[in-house]
Amino acid sequence: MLEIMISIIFFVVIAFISANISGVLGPKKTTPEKETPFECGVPIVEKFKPLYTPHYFFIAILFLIFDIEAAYLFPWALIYKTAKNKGELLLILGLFFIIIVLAFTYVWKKGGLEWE
Amino acid sequence: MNYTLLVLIKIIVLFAWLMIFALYATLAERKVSAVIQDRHGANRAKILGISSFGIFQPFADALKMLFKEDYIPPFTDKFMFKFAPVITFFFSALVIIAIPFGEPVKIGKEIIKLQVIDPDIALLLIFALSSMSIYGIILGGWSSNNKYSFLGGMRATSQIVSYEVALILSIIGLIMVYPSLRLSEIVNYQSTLLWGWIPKWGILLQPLAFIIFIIAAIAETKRAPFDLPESESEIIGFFLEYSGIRFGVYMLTDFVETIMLSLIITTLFFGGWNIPYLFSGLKLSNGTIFSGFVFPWGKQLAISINWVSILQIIAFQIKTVIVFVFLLLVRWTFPRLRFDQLMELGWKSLIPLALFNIVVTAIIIAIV
Repeated sequence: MLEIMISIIFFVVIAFISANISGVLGPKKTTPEKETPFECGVPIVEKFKPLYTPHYFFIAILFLIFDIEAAYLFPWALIYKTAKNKGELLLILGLFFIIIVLAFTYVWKKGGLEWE
Repeated sequence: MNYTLLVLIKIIVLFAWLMIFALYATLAERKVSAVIQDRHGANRAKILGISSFGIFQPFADALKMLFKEDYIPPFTDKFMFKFAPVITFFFSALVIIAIPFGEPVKIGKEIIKLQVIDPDIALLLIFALSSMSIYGIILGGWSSNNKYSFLGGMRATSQIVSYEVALILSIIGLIMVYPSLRLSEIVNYQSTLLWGWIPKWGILLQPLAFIIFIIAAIAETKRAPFDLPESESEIIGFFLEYSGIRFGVYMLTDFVETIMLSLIITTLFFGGWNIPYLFSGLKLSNGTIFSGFVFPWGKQLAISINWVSILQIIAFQIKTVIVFVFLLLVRWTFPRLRFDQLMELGWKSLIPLALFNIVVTAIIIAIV
């Protein structure tokens, strides 16, 4: 616990110092062009709106489901090699994988993994 | 020795090692790309007229970054804008405390581990920390209030999130073989021999997992051929509005992530600090403690225990550098993927392959 506290404090301090040091050392001068967002040489017409395609959101949802499934595999994988009832454990893995594969094929067939 | 002081010394040494490696990684990247593209690469930075293949170049770059203006545009979300690079750097650099750099060494009466922490969930900790750094990226892209950086942030998130699943699924096969999440135990397992002569390195026991892992992990570091979040010719990237050392911190984090990736690959797949057939403190059949090489054909070569430790630390460094150079070569030889190809590779190839790997590993372990 002590080790992790010391390392967290150390790295937070280092990260803060290194990110803010050029604010102290660097020059400060502003021109009107600097105050506009970067564009490809054309004037800004409208204010920035954070719009994105729903597909990004969909990928995030898929990630949640599959990552939780992967997390469930960790304790299973840890005990598998030393366990005596390997057949039972294999059966559990098989049932679990049937669910995963069914869900995965459903998403695939519905076109959830396509990107247009 | 005072324990707190010892921990602090370890962290400072690790951090210095990381920074020197990262600085020279920038030079190595420029030199490797130069060799591949038939150029000379960086060689202008001189001290007293000596450039010697640009070994001062990283310091010149760093100093220049430090003395640039740290401009925070008025249209950004200031707090998050300032905070985002700190988050990315912090989480990707913190991974280093769990990496075992060598076997525990005995100095005087004390046994000193060559890693700061050795928890039994180290592998989970490493992946948790390295995927936390995505927050810095998406916050940086979002708080910039610029459509290009926003798009870069979104792309980075969806890419990292997609490949995270394949990465973790490929790890499951490894855990089944090693049965441990503690990195020192994983390395110890890899130092044993299969059938008396094959070292049990991860790459030999789990070749498919290695291929999936390395592809997914390169995608996680957002470097070519998976550099869509920062494709310079189209959207520049999530750090578009950043300047000065804040931009430098993002760039440094890129190299830090690649170094961490080389460290993790070395630890999980290339036996960590293990040199095949080199043992320390091996109990022979006649009861004596032996340290040195014991070759499978029966020859023995005794080496003092201190030299064994030094050789193992050097071996770890050499393996890490080799993996790092391999990653650089991959970066500079493959063209960038398209976004739909990226998603197809991640979801349609790597995840089914990783699931297949788990099933095959489970069956092989059940048979053997």
